[in-house]
Amino acid sequence: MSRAEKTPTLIDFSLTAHDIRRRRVNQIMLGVIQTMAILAVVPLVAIFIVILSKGLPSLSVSYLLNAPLAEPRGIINAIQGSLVMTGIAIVASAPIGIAGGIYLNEYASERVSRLGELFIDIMLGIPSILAGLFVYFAIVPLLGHSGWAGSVALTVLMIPVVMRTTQEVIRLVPAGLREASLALGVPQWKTTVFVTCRTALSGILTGIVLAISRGLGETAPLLLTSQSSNDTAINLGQPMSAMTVVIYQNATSSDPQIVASAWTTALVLFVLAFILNVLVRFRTVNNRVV
Amino acid sequence: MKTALRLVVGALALAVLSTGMASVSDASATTPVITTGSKGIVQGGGASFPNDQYQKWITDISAGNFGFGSDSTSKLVLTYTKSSSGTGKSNFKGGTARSASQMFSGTDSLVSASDTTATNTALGGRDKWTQIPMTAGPIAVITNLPGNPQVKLDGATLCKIYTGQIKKWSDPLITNQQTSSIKKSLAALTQDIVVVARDATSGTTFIFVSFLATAAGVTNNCGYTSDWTNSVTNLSSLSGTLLPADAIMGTRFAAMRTANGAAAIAGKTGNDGVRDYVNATSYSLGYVEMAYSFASNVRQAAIKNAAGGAYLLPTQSGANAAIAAQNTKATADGATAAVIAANNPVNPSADYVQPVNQLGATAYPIVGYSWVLLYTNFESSVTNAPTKGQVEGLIYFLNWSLAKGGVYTSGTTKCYSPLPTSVKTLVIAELKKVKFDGVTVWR
Amino acid sequence: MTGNVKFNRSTLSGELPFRLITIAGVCIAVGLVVALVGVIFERSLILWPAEDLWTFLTSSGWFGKVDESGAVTAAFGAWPMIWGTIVTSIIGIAVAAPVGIFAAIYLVELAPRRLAAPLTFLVEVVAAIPSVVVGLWALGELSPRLRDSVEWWVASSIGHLIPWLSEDPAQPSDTSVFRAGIVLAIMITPMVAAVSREVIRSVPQSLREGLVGMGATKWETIRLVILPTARVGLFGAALLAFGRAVGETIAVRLVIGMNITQVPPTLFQPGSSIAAQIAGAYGEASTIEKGALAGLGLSLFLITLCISLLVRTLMWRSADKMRAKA
Repeated sequence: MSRAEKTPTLIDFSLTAHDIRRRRVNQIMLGVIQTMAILAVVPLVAIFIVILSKGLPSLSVSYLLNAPLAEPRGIINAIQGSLVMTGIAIVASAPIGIAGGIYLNEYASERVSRLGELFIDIMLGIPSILAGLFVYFAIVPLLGHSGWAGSVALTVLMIPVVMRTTQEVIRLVPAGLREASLALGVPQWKTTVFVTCRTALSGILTGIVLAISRGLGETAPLLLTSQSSNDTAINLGQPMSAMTVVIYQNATSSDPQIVASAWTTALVLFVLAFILNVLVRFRTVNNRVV
Repeated sequence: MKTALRLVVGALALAVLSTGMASVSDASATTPVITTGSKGIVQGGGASFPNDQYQKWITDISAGNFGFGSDSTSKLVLTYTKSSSGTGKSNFKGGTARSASQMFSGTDSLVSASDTTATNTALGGRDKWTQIPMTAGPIAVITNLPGNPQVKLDGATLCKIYTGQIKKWSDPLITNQQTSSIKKSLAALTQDIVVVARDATSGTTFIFVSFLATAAGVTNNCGYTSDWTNSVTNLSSLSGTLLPADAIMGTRFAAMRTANGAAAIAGKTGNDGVRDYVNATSYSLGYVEMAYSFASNVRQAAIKNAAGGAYLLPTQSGANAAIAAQNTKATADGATAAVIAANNPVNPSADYVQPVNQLGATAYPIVGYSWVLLYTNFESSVTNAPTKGQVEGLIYFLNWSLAKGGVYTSGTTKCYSPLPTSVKTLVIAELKKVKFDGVTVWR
Repeated sequence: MTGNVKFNRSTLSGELPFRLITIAGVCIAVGLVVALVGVIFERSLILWPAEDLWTFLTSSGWFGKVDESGAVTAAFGAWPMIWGTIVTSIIGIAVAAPVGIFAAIYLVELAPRRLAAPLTFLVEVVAAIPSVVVGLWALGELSPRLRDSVEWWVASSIGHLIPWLSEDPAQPSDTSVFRAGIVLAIMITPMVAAVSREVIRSVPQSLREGLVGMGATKWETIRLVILPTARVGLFGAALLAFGRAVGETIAVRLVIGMNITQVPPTLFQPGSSIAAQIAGAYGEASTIEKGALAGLGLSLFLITLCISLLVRTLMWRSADKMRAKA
């Protein structure tokens, strides 16, 4: 527009009414967009404030370390249970997910690879309650309500997270790297493991952390499978508490102290989920959240 | 010298005698014995009505030095998971029966005839399980009205409220029972009563319904008769015999309420759900176990006693009086079999009626027992079976809790009642029937 | 891609086991899904002699029993649950889609460089909050507030015109389908935002530059180029989030009110959803009712299956479209 002053032309660069209206629409719409972005963050702030105010008063080291039957009550059994069951689930699901992701990218044909993508979508879309129902029908009659049953349910939910992330990051590894390695005579499988996977390692680890995050946050499948127990000994053959289940059960108690403890457990879980999420953010470069 | 010898002999004799007596009293074993070093989980679940009481017992016994604690590798760990009487009954005969995670169930409703048959089939006979009362408590009727007044109600009025014959708070049948100031404020209200009940089969409902059915001035057991169908719209059309049920009140009275022009009953989940809804909804009315009746906008109603006509609030002493009155009937000299069957809470027969509307000046009218369903034949061959020590622990815990009685307090208010002595004796007799691999646990 | 591998001795030794391991990974995953569907399907079969599929899917009411003679009466109606699942998810995506997509646009196109990363983080960390925590908060805080503000305002203003948006002013319900929908919206917005962000970022830069060169305002660039190009992908993002909403159990269960015997007459009254009903009823269920719950589970799986198929097809098309335009 400044050109209008320098070069005398026949084109009139000054603002027409149409332009002004376009500018105004632009400003309004940009404002709307900005509001939406803020709106997306508001619930987080609201939830955080409430959890903090209701959960912090009862939070203490003894709350984290004590047994539910001790005085004062604690949630060590729930924390252990969540970590153990998620831990077992990730030990089972990580290899399966990584192996599957590698296959779909490195060894499968184009068609199989596409089908595989679709399959992972389907598996990711399985509602967690159905994983719980499946284990309730198939595994609980054999192993009883137990930590094993809970772990199996979590495994079913965590495999697709690892598989999807692995598949995506491996796909991003430049073909040139693979070709260079193969040209040097490195066997295909060694190329995959030591070159491709090593390059994608950060992303694969992200997938594992995302899966852990999912496992720690699940309630419904554990309600049906591992239920709960006051026991502080870690025994996978018997019912195990988990933080999410404890929150759900305590939230509906008649004892206001127990309801308060539900909020405190929620705070602990929230902080844990937050930390894991931060971990994911800072390792990733270009990964999609599943 | 002789005196000294006599003294020594006397002391020795005394010592021998006292140890002898001590071993005699050990042999008669007034408390069960837990094998030293017993460990593992002792778990059960079910009704939410007695949950607070069971949790208190569990916490207390675990804090003492009885062999219970938090770590199942060295102690016995007790867990009671509340859900509902229905779930408790279902799990009792389900696939995990008699495993360490399903050693007993809580229920405050009777096991129906078909459920009894199913349980017998699943467990191998009626002698393989027993239904013992563990605690009892009052049910409070709670209201949410402006100014939180204490409303007076009787059974007939509550029946009419739940069946939809009374729709508004200003109905004379309600206001005529009130004190003058409350009468005026209620009469001025134009709002309908928001009626709240449970949304699933519930032992609490069972107790409340037993009260409605047997209250004075109620037509045809308030519909809880053997010839009821869900399409009945008029109580006078019934002619069957008394049959309380734990089924959903909303479904049951839907047709009747529609015929009376009343809105549907709001069904809520659990005692806590009813309490929270009443607390949040003005002009509402519901029923909950007494432990759940404390909230900011909620007030207990005073219920008319069956004997003197006084209006009573739910209290532990009121529940004690009700239980005692029923117990007297069952243990009276010359009580007929029918009377005993209707009043004996141990392995209750189909004719048993909860201790509601008892005749006693201080007997609170809405009181009910809560039972534990217990297996009498634990076996080590079952999947995830408990060890003998765990079964011993369960029997010890149940016996200990019986002795402790109603120790749970909401604040300083006691909400559950201990059992009368004669009932306790019967329960202990049942506990002594429990066997592990064919051997009686409590000898 | 099957590489051009020279199969000499040293490669053979490791190659085959490795490939078998990777194939095993896929097979185990597929096997688990097949087993899951199979078991749930098999459990639902007990229902079919007593009740046919059409009645199950379209009727209301939840009742079934097996009496002493073994005769099975089944009158399980899944319709209120199916209706509730779909309606709450629709409400959820109706709110989450605009908020999420616009938030994504902001994060990609408009946010100052230093604000973009932390803000992205904040938007997406909501997805990491466990659903039981969101449900707890919604039950205690959000639900009463929505009831007293939005629901009351909508019902009193346009309630008499649109019956399904009305409510009885004397008896506002403490749980409602609408509120469950809003909770879902909060939970799936991060997913919409995250996927939309990827889609918008992959719009070729040349298209943007073209319009800027023509003197378009920021909004016009977004409206005329970015949104149309990304349209298929954004729709896929919304659909993906819709699929997530359909399966949410705990948060919905706490807020929706579990009215399983009928479809509520208004959005501001309690309803129920498939997942919430399964989670609530499995404990007390008799064998025949467990069959009905399995039938519900199967319906839910079919819904999520269709959504997954649709999403993947859209994503493929979107990717092809981007590649074509670059």
